[in-house]
Amino acid sequence: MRSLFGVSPVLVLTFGSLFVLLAGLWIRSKAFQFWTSILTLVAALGLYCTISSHASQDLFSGMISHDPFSIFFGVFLLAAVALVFVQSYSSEEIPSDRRSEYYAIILALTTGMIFMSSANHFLLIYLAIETVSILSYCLAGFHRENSKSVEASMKYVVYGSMASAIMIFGMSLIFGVTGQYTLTGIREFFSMTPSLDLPLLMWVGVVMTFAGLGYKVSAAPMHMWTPDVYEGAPTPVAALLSVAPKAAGMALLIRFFVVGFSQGIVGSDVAISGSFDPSALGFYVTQAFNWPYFLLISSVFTMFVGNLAALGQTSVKRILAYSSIAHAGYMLMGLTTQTGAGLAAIMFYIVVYCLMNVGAFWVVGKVHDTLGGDDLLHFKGLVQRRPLYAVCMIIFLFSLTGLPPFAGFVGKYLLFAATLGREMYGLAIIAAFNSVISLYYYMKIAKAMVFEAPQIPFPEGKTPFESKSSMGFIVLLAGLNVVLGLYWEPLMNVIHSMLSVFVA
Amino acid sequence: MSHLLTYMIFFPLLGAVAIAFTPKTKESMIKWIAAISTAVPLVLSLKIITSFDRLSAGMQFQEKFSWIQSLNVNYHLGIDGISVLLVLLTALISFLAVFASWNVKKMVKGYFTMYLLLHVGMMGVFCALDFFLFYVFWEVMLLPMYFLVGIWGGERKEYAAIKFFLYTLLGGALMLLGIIALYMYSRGADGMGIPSFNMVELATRDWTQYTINLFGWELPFDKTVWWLLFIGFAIKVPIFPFHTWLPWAHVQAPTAVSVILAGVLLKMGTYGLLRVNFSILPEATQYFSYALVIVGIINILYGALCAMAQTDLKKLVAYSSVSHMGYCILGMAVLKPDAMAGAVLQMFNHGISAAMMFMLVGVLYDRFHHRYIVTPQGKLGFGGLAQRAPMITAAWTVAIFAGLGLPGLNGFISEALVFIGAFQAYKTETMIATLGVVLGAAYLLWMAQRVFLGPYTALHKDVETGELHPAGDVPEMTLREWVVVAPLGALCLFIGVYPQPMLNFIRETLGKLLEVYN
Repeated sequence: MRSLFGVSPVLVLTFGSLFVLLAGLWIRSKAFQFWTSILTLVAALGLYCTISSHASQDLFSGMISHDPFSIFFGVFLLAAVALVFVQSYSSEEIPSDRRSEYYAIILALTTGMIFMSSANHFLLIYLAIETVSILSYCLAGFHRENSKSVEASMKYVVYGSMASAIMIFGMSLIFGVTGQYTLTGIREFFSMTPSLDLPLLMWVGVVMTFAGLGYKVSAAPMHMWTPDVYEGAPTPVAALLSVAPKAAGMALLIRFFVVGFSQGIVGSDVAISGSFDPSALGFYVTQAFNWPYFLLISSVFTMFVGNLAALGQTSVKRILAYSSIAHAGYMLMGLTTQTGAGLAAIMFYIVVYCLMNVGAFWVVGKVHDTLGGDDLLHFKGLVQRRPLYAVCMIIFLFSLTGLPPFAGFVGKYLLFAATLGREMYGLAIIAAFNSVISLYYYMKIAKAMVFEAPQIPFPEGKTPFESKSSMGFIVLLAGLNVVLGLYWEPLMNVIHSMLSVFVA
Repeated sequence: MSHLLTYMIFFPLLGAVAIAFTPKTKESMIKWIAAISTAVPLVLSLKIITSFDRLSAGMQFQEKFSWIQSLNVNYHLGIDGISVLLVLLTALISFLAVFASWNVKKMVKGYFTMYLLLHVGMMGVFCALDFFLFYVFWEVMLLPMYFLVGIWGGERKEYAAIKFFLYTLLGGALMLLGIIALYMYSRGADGMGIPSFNMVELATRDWTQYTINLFGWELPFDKTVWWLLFIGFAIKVPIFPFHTWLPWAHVQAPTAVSVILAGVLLKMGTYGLLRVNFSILPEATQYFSYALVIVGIINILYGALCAMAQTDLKKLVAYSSVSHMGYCILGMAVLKPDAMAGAVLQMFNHGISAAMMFMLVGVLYDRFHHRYIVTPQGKLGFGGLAQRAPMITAAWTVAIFAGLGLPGLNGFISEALVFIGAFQAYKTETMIATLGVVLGAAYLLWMAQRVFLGPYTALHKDVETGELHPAGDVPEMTLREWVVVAPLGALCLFIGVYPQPMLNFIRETLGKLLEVYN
């Protein structure tokens, strides 16, 4: 019963998803479908508020870890999905006769993502990832008339099933070595047998599992699906995929390595009290198993692949896709530091990344709706046509680059600080170079919007960029980027308190 | 606690907001809002100058509030002898350059919004004492600068804008790492203290005791961080070989932005070196000082030689900036009181004379629509201007002679001080550096000869067809142009004749700065 209560937000989401799907058969009203979906999210959010307690507990005999960390991600995911719903409401890329399915799929997807961020058992990890993947395939191919969308979905399926297969094989190897199904169990295994000569199989298993997890956060070399899927999927779906599954994947990645393959955490008191000390909360790798080194290589590789590949793109969606790969690289940097500061930086980064990336995709969606495309060509002269959209887009782009006074800068600052706090100067310098590279392609978009004259004429009979509510939300997101860039202490305090879960 | 500095920094922001809410069509109203929003900081900076305590070496007009408590980031402002002149310079140049941009036609509203944002960033850099705040202001400036060059610039504006942006961001990113490294190590050797971003406090620490490990090499902490910070500032100065963005940005930028670039932005690099590298990491600075001397000399000579080879008037002035900033570097690097005072004064002087020269390039461009000293066909672009436009020529003459260091004008004072100080430390090197003065005279006088003297053969470029044909009569300087040029010319003359008041501002602070150097 306690366990059921712990997963009540997910239950609400499941029922909500079914209700939206069924009700959609009879009630075709766009507003009704939208509001019931939003209501479901709000109800789930409300349940989170009632069940949130800082004591962590294992539900369903160790299947699920219900702790502040998973609550943080649960709340974040609900908020991100709500944001995407609002974006989808006015988007013309979602066919009106299939809206109820759309909302239902995303609500179901949310349950998967919430399980991803709280799973402790290998079986549930696999199930959660598969839930998210399969529903993402459907979403990517939501434009079934559009060959690009179908292609995106197909590619996603092929890559995704490959990655899951590798991952589950890796998990079985880990189970073979340790005899444990759960992450907490693996940690106990290591603490019981401290000076163990680990067989090479352990490495193989972990690397293979990372393939599955890395595929969700689009870490190189498991990133190949990203640009094609983002390009083919409807823009709100691309916005969702770039933010929510990535956050859930990052949460799972953190939990997998920190809970499963790290030894205890020391100096808990300092980090929790809120005063900043990067070395105070640190976790150490399990003996003879240096996984952070492996993540470091992946992180550097991911940054370079994302940033260099983005340079030559002409589709704004593809640029943002490669940029999302690069950002995954930055985030992985935080995990390699093995400090509480690094984890806090990742969590902060995920939140601000959501604010800036959803904002950017929102503008892309508006341009797509009006002009029927998302190449740089379509962005030309946006500042003359709709100055407010262009200004907000510029704010998102600068925030993505990591320039003050925008939130992206704070995220980068925290990651750099965590890295330097561990004296990883080389990694920090590489990341700094990467943000300079990224400036070039973000500015390509800004250049098209501001420096060049409009090229694509407005289609006949379309009132361009009309939605007032979209405009309001985009301005709100841009405003949040500025506010969080100037004053982020409250959010940081919340994140610090959530990290207490890793203090054993 | 007075909030003078806060008002001075953020008043233009109010102006920017006001402009954003002004209808697009009311262009003259927008311009006047911009003029007022820059006039107020100028008045405030004059108030600061008059109430500045010249006998104190410490920070004055300090303001300090906690900003991000958990990171110990403060909103901390204050100025001392190094920054007080630069604050005045920023306010003055920014105010005058509003009038230099009076004839902007395209997107007036956007232009002045960006312009005022730039003002906030520049002023903030000179006043910030918290390293985090300093960095925020430093980077905030890039954003409006990119658009000012990229939208309102010349033919290759987009290339120039992105080049400037990439270069400065690279420097900024490395600088950020340096700042974070200092912050981390400010916890002390045991790592238990409270880390700090306070620039004044960081200057009291001993950084030589730490080492860091970079890609497997064991490196001394202070020298490594010195380089991270140095590259950031060197790109801004610009120091050879990081200077290649400068000719592009200067030449492509609209007149007022060139004025700001040369007048204020370049000084941020040298100011940063003094405030950060020289104050916080003295041991490393001492260690690298000879290298800096050499780099300074290269800047002087290389800039001058490049300037001599130019056929584009604006490019010539741009390279002369490279050369003149070399004197600043040289003066700072020799670590002698005279030279250091000369370097700080040179920042101010070059700010005035370079701003004046860029303004005057703009004056010529508005009349002839080209900037050729010599056209690609080998003809003189402006030949014999003195015959038709004696007032323009007179203004140019003041600027040219201030630039080449004629006694009685400001450039002479600071360059002489630099050489006097430098000669005490490095004899041969200083003698080589004085060649720069000769070269400076050479390229400026040669330019003057080709532009102003001889028979009138000036060419006019047709904006539509791009063809050059003989120009007719030239309108003289307008009142608006005089408003910009005359105060700068007067200041050149005043400092040239009576530099003591300026030197009084900086003496005490520099004395304290140099105490750590033996």
